[in-house]
Amino acid sequence: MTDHKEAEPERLVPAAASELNNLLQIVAGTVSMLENIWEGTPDSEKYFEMLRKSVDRAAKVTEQLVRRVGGEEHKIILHPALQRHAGSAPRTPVNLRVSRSILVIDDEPMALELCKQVLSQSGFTIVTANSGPEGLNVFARTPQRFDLVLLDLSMPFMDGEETFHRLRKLNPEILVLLNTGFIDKGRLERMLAEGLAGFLRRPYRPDEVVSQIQSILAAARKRRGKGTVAVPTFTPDS
Amino acid sequence: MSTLTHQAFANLAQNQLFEGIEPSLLQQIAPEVNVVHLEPGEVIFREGDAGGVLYLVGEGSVKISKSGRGGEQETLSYIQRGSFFGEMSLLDGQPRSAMACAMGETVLGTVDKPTFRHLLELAPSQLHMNFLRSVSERLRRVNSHFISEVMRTERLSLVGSMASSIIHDLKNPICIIRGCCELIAAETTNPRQLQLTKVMDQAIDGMLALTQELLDYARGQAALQFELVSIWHLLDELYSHSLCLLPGKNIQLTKDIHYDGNLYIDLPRFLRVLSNLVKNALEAMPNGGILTLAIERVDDGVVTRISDTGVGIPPDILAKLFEPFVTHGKTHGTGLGMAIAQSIITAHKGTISASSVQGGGTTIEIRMPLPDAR
Repeated sequence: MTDHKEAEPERLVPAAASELNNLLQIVAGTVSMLENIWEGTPDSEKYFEMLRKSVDRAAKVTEQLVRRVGGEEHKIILHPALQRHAGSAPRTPVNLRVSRSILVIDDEPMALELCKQVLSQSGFTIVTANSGPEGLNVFARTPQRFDLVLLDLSMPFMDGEETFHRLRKLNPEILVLLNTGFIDKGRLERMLAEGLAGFLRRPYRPDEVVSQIQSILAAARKRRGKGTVAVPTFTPDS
Repeated sequence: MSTLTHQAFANLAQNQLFEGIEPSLLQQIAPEVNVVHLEPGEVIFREGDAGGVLYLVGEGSVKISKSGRGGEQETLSYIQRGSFFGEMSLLDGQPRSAMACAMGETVLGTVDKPTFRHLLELAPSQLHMNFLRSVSERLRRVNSHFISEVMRTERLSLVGSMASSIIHDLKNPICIIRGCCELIAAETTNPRQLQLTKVMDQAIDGMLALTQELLDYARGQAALQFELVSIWHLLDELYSHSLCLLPGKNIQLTKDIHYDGNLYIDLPRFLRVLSNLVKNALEAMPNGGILTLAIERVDDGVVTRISDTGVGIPPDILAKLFEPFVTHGKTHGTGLGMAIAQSIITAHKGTISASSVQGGGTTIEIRMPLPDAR
């Protein structure tokens, strides 16, 4: 056996796990959008129920795959500095809320479309970009305009990690939420240490991404209220 | 004893075999130690040679190696100046279990059985201690090397078998999702809703293809079933698998076959690779073009080229073409295809490479070894 062949499973399986989760995300998103506009017979309710259950079951299987090849197994992670302010944050009344602006960067058009739908419905203003470079272009024009960037990890040309670093260079306080089907544990730890606001593993339900974005924004607002920088570069004692 | 030998022995006296032994005792041994000068690369002994002598490294270093499973030499360790080697066959009288050769200009001292015995009489406790310490250090090193090798192999085969059982578990829910999706689609005529079911359907296709590819891959990790296959048989099979799809696609097929012999391959897997490449070529030419299949003999192998006159692949994608999930301009396909193709060709001891001109088409070249004359 050559080294080359032996190295294969180590790069193939994580890549496959990631892609499977991305596809499940599309299914989950489509199911919920379809359900929202559905005008079929009451009978179809049970199909939606089965769909949701099957997506959950498939997601449990891919989670095993993720775990076995060293991926981050938690579904939702918040930067420790934000975690301290999360949960206790009172919901801002809807009528007082200024519309928040979110930049979504993803190379998969359907993922962009689904995010846009879900997040617009929750009152966010959404701008989309289909690659790291395009996202940076949009961001660079008005680095103060966006409250948060929802970022994909595996993209051609420039991956999510590099895009994240460049975004933070343009605006060191920008809140970045990473969402992907697979990330190596060590890599995520490194990105959190470098100021990533949070992580959400695909597939997730629409309400999960909305509530995580809300808690990040709320926690950051609390920190800002105390005169601190949005998300610091994390050190274990910070 | 010459001055030179005196100097050499002064070095050898620092050897860990002699640690703690009185210099006066060592002086008694010195005349019995033969000093040998070696050129870089010179072989000291080969596996299977008669043993009976222990070597002290005074200058330079020595590589210990053993012929591995594949026939090539595997390095076991490097013995640095101040250490010793060859003690095993001195003690048990068995032939050498490995090969030793000098790395640079090397000075060795040899200790034969009578000398070793003499040493044992002079300084029994120190010699025993030094000997034991060095042997157990070596054992520890080999142990940890062995354990990490075993763990690596285990982990890899675990990934393979784990992946295939998990993938099996995935097929079930995916099929239910497909079924529900079809049922829902059948209940509506609303274009927006139908569009969404179509999106879902494509994602399901993607997941099914991906699980199938992963399964194939996991199976590919198992042993290949090699057989001698004639080029013409291979072409027939390729025709019934994928070339038969050509009519109606405005594709002109050019065959350029200059090899009339056999290939030693796992036919189904090799065929999968070729079919995949043909499929990619067709996808690159949605408006038609020329598909060229060329097979020729080169010095020591058989080269198969599949070329299209399609859009070509941008250089940055081309550089990473064989990495998983690097896709370009594909509406479907999982992005595992080229990575799997590479792993299959590599398992055949062949190579696969790609060249492309943007706007001018892509050529994939597979180079296979000639089958042994049989």
